[in-house]
Amino acid sequence: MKKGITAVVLVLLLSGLVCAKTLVIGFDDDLVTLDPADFSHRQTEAMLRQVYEGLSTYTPDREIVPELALSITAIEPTLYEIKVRPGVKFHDGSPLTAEDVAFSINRLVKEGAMAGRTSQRRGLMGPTKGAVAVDEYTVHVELANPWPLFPRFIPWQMIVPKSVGDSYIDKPVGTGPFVFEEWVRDSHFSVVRNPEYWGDPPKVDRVVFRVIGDESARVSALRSGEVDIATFIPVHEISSLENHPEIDVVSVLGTRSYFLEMNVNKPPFNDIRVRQAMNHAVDMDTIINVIYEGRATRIPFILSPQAFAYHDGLPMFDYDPEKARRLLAEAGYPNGFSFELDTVDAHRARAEIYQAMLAEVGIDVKIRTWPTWGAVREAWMQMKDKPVAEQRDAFLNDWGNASLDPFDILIPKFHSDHRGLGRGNFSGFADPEVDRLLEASLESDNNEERLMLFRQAQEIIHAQVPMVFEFVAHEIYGVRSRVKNWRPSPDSRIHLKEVELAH
Amino acid sequence: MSKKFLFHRMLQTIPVVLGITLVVFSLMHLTPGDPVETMLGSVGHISQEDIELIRQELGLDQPLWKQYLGFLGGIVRGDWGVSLRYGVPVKDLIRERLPATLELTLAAMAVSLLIAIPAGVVAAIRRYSIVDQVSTLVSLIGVSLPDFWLGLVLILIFSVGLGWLPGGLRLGFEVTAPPTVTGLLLVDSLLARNWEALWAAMKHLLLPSLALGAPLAALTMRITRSSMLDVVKQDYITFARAKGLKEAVVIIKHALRNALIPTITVIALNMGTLLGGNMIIERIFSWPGLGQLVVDSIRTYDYPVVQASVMLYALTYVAMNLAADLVYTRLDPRVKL
Repeated sequence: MKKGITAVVLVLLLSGLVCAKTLVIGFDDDLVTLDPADFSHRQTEAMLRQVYEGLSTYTPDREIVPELALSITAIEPTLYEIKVRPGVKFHDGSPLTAEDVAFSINRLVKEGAMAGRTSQRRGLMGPTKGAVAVDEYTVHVELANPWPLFPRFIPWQMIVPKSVGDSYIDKPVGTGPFVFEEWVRDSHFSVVRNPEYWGDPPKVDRVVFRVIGDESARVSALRSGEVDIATFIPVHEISSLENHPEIDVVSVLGTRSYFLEMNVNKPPFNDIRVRQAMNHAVDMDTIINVIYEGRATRIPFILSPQAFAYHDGLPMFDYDPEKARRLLAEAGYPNGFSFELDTVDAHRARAEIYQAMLAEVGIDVKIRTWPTWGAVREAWMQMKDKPVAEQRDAFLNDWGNASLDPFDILIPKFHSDHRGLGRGNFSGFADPEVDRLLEASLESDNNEERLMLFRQAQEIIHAQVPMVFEFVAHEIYGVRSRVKNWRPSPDSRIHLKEVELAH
Repeated sequence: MSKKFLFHRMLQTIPVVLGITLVVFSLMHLTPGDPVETMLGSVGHISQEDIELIRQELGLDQPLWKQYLGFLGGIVRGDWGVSLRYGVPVKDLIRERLPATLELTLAAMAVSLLIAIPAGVVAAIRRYSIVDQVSTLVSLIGVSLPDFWLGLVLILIFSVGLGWLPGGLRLGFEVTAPPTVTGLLLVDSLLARNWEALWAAMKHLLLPSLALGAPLAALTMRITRSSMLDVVKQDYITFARAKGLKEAVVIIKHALRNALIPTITVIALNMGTLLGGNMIIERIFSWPGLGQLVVDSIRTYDYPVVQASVMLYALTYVAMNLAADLVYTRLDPRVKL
């Protein structure tokens, strides 16, 4: 009898599992933590965002929309008021209040707030000093100095319940559309539907993020139907996946720009004609077709076409080796020259194409590669006391502009304070007018004005050609046809609230 | 075998393990790159002060010799440190991962023995027959195939093509895992009489253990074959046959037992190789074991995890060698230690 009951229960359970709609996503990397304040890692963000929400969030179209906040307004340049959405519950049943929001913000900016560790995401909070709850649904956030970008940065942070205290989070409790189920490191992270979600509850019952680091294995899992969505599809797999009747390949313009930075303080790159010649000597369309099989979009400068203040009036350099040779001769290098191109292993193939193309116009490229960016930096550190003019020749690089706002790419790349071994101006570009425009952009919260400032800055920099301008790569996903209503997001987040499974 | 021998062998492992930790520690710190930089990725908004603060909290601002001594002292006290990447004790990470790797390694070993020993014996007693020729050819191919390639091909055939077996994970996520007792899923699901989990675990284990075990099977089969050939020529085998013993008894009890000695050495030494091979196979089959942990930890400069795992590998290697010596004495009483 007992056995009979067990069998019935088993059958019921099994049929329940069969009916339950589980969406499986093949991810290239595991989470690094379950604590939403302790990472700077896209994959971790994509997974934790199913459980946690922000005060506001980015849509796949890059619009900022409210999530747990009804409004975020500056009542003074250094004081923001946040109105918290009432009626929201955490997964443990406790209601979301202003206390939780203030706690979450303070946890990010206070030293040692997570069991003695300081949040890695503190840098994303700018000059935020702290937050207090003024009433049940109102929070005041105080800044050390005016920072109009506060509302643009808030979507990156997630809200946790104040019951967390000063501990480190190992069991996530959020307000999001999905409730945390389990995390098996390097295997999978799973969440189940939150039926009490404050918005429209999601349409799938369960989502499993599977970690499949090997790209061939990830593609195989998509082919066999073990995963419904696979991230980071390698370009050489695209054409065969496109022929598969049940798989769609979708892509989205990413947020990462590629370029080659020339040290404008050092011969030969101190001559603008040489820098122009470099741009004319490289056949960028061929690079895009060969390395990315066309899955990249050429850009005239370094901003992605979807970025705020993208300047579509800037001219693109055409491939013209003849013109490149003429410019080199005018600059006093009729027989070309030789230079060292520094880069990381990931960009080696691109560096070698440069080497071949530049050889055509008489430029000899010596490639030096390191495994990681940290390693390059360490190698450069030995030159740190020398003036910029005596440091590296050129650096083949890329830069993620996740906010798609020019401030976190134009400032690190072109403000004179970031030269040398600062955080990013590797061409050593310096121009007082550009500095002024960029600084003014930080103090303005008027979008019209910021647009004008950024466009002017781009025109001046572009005319000086401190880089070989390249492209923005696409991010490519494979999706089984049973997945409905899903589209990729430029910031690699996975939006699942609307997604349905056909059978 | 004397207790004294055992004691001496144990003592010998101390300088070996110490030496290995020193080499690994130096290599990790000499490798250009930095855990904090890697952790922070390309987030460009982090000030130098914040980087220094995080470095201080992680103890990375200390001089290297202090960090090394701290690590050693911790090991002695049973404190293996805290992972820089995950922020949890290394001990917990390893305890969580080790059973998965162990299960895969043992399964791969079992697969290789199940193939290798019968094939080796048959190839030896039917020397130059078609069976011998075929198994020689297959083992040659087996030795030459890299395990990651074999893993991917097995996935393509059995998972993508035929759809018979899963292409990754230990259990899948449709099945409720049995309560953890040993951490070995086969054993745990047996203990819990959870047949569904047992079946799922076996299905998930098959491809990765085949990919990992097949190259080893080829090697083991060749060794078994040649040492069987040596043994069957010995007088005591002729004598056993002359006594009128059944051929099966002669082969299994008298010949194989003696022929296994070189095989055992190879198997023991290959336990280490198997653990290493795990790193690639675990990645391909999204197997949450120690191999993946080590690779990711090296990639992210997670010093404490790398050091502790390498020490564990070293200890395993030393222990397997010792075990091989011990097994000899059981199989061949003439070997005195």
